[in-house]
Amino acid sequence: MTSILIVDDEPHIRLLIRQTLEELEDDGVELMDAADGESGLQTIREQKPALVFLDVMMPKMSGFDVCAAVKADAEMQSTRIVLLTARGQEADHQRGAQAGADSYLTKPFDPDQLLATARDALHL
Amino acid sequence: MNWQSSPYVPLLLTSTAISVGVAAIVWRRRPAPGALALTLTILAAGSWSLASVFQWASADLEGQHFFFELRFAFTELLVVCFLVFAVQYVGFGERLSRRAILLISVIPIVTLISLWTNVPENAYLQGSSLVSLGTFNALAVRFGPIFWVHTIYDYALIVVSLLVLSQAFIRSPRLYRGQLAATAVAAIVPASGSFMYTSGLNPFPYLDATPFAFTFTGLVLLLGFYRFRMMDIVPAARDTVIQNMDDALLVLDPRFRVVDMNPAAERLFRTGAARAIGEPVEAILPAWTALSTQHPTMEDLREAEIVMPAPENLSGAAAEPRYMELRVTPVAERSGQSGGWMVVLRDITERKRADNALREAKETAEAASKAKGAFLATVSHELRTPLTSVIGFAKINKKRMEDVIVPVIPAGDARAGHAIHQMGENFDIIISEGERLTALINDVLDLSKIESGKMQWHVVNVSVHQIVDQATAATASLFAQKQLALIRRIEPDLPDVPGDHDRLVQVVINLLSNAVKFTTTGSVTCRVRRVDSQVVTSVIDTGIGIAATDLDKVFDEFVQVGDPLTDHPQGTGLGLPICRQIVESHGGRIWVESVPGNGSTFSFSLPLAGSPAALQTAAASAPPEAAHAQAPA
Repeated sequence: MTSILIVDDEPHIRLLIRQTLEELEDDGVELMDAADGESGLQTIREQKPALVFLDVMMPKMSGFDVCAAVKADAEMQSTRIVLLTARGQEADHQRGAQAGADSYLTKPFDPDQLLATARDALHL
Repeated sequence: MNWQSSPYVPLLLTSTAISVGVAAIVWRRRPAPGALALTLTILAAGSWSLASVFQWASADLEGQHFFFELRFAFTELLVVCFLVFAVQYVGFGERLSRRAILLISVIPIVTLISLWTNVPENAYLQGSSLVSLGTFNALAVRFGPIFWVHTIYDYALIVVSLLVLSQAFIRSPRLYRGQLAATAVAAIVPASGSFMYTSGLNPFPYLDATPFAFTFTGLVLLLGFYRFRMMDIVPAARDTVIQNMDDALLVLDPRFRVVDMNPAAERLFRTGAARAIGEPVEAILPAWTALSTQHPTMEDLREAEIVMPAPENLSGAAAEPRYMELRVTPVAERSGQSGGWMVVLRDITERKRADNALREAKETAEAASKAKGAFLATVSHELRTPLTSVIGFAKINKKRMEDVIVPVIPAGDARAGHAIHQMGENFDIIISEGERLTALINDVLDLSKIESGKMQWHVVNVSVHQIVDQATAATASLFAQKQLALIRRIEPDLPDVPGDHDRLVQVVINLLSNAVKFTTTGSVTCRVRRVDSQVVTSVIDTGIGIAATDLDKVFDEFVQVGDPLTDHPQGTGLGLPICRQIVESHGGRIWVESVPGNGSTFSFSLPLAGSPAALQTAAASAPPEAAHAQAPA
C-alpha cells in the first residue's frame, strides 16, 4: 500500500498537511506522521513510505540528517523526500540537494502546491 | 720696500693655497654646526701663511717686521675660532654665547694692541734685527713679557679645545672617532711647530714652522672630510637626538651591565645615570631577568613586549602599568666580537590602549551584527510556522467551503448565500494579509543580509531583455487585474551586464508592481537603453505621482509616502530600500523623477564593465555556512 509520511515537530503543521493530503486517501494512500527526526527515520525504515514531507528544523535530528541517512541506505533510498524549508534560501536548497532531497517546499507553502507535489511524486 | 728670494716662499704659498681650498670645502658644508668657525680657523691659518710669505719675501727689516707683527692678528683669530669650532662641533654650541666669545677674545685683543702700538714700551717685542742666512735674510726677535702672556693663553685655548674634542671622542662610535682624531691631529701638529719656535727648541733658526705645518693640517682635514665624512655627519646631531629622544636608551656591556643611558631612560627608571652605570641591567629593569631566562644568550632576542609598574603619581594613587616595547641590538666591535648591547624601550601604552579599544569596538559591533542576524533568523522562523498554519488553514477552509458547503446550500437561501460570500471574502483577507506578513519577513531578512554583506550573489552575464521578460511575466496578473497596458521600449542589441539574475528580476518586479499599485488609468512603460557605459532601466507610470518633498524618502526603510487614507498603501515599505541595496551592490544607482498627478519614473543604472567589486567582496566574504542563519528549533 502506498503511504506518505509527514515529519514535523509542529502539530498544527502536521494537521495542515494531513488535511491537505486527505483527499489522496480516496486513492488508497495511507497518511502517517512523526513529530521528530528520530522517530521519522524509524518510521521510514519500518514502513518504507513512498513519499516523505520532511521539516528541516526539528529537535533531536534535523531534516537534513534524516534525509542523508535515508539516501545513504540502500533499502530506503527509493523513498522520495520533499524538504519543508523555513525560507527559500538557496543555501538551504544546496544543503538539501547535498543530503539527497528530491525537491523542497518553502514555508509558508500553498496547500494546492503541496497536493500537486504529492500527486506528481506518486503519479496519481 | 725691497724684496728677496727665499726658499720658504714656495712652501708657504702652497700652504696658503691648501688652506684656502680646504676653507672653501668647509664653507660648502656650512649648515653643519661649527662649520663657520672652522672656515674662519682655516682662513686664519691661510692668512698666517700668506703673511709669512710676505715676511720672507721682504729683504729689509722694516718689511719683515711689519708682516711679522701682522700675522699675530691671524694667530689670535685662529685660536679663538678653533675653540668656538670645537665647542659647537661636539654639540655644546648653545653654551657659547657671543658674550663668552668676546670674553675669550679680551686677552688676544689687548696683547695685539700692545704689540702694534708698542704700549707699554717694549712689553711685547724688546727688539728685532735682520740676520743674513747666506742668500736671504731672516728676522731675529726678542720677546717681552706680554708675548709670553699671549702665548701661554693661546696654548691654554688650544688645550681646552682639544679637551672638548676628546670628551666627545671617548663617547663616540668609530666614524666620529675618526673625525675627531683627524681634527685633533690637524690642531696638534701646527701647535707643536709653534711651540718649537717660541720655546727655543727650534731646529730651524729664526724659522716659525707653524705656517708650514698648516700644509699638513689641510691634508689631514681633507682626509677627515672624505674618509670620515666630517661636517657631513656631526657628533652634535647624534648626541642631540639621543639626549632628546622620547625612547629610553640603555647601552650594556657584554655582561649586561649598564654603560650608558639617556635622559629618557633616567626618567623611565627613575634613577640617575651616575647611579645606574656599572649596575647589572636587572637592577633597574627587573623584567630583564625573565627575558634572559627565555633567551640565555640574548642573540635571538630582538623585540619583546614588557610591562613596567606604573610611575607613582603625586597623589599616590596607583596608575595603570605601562606597556613597553623593548628592542635589543648587539653592538659589534670591529673585530666581530660582541661589544655589548643597545636596548631601546618605547612606551606603547597609548597604542595598546587604542588597539584594545578598537578591537573591543569591532568585537562589539560584530557581536551586535551577529546577534541581529540570529535574532532575525529566529523571529523569521517563529513567525513563519504560525503563518504557515494561518494561510494554509484559511486556504483549506475556503476550498472546503467552496467544494463541500456551497453545493449543499439551497439556491433560495439569501442569508446563507450572503454569509458564504462574506466568509469567502474574509478568507481572502486572511490569506492576503498572511502573505503580506510573509513578504515583510522575507524583505527584512533580505535587507539584513545585504546590509551585513552576507548576501550570496551569483554574478553572471545577464541579459536585460530576459530580466524584463521574467519580471513582466511575474506581474502580468497585476496588470490584468487593473486592466493596465504594459508598454515595452527596449533598445535592440543591448550588451549583457554582470549581475545576479534573480536579484535584478526582483528589482524590476518591485518597480513594476509599485507602478501598477499607484496607477489607475493610463499605462506603465518599461524602457531600457544604453547610456554611455551603463544600461539604464526605467519604469514609467501615469499614476498619482510623488510630491517633491517626498522624493528623497521613497528609498528609506519603512517609509511609505503619501496620504495613507487616500493613497491605498500596500506592501511592506521595504521594497524600494531592497531595490536600492541590490542596485548599489551592483555598482549602479537608483533614482526617481515625478510630477504629482502625472506619474513617476523610477530608473536604475547598471555598469557594463567589469564585475562589480561589491558583489565580489560579498561573495568572497560570505562562506557557504553563513547564509544558513538557522534558528534553534
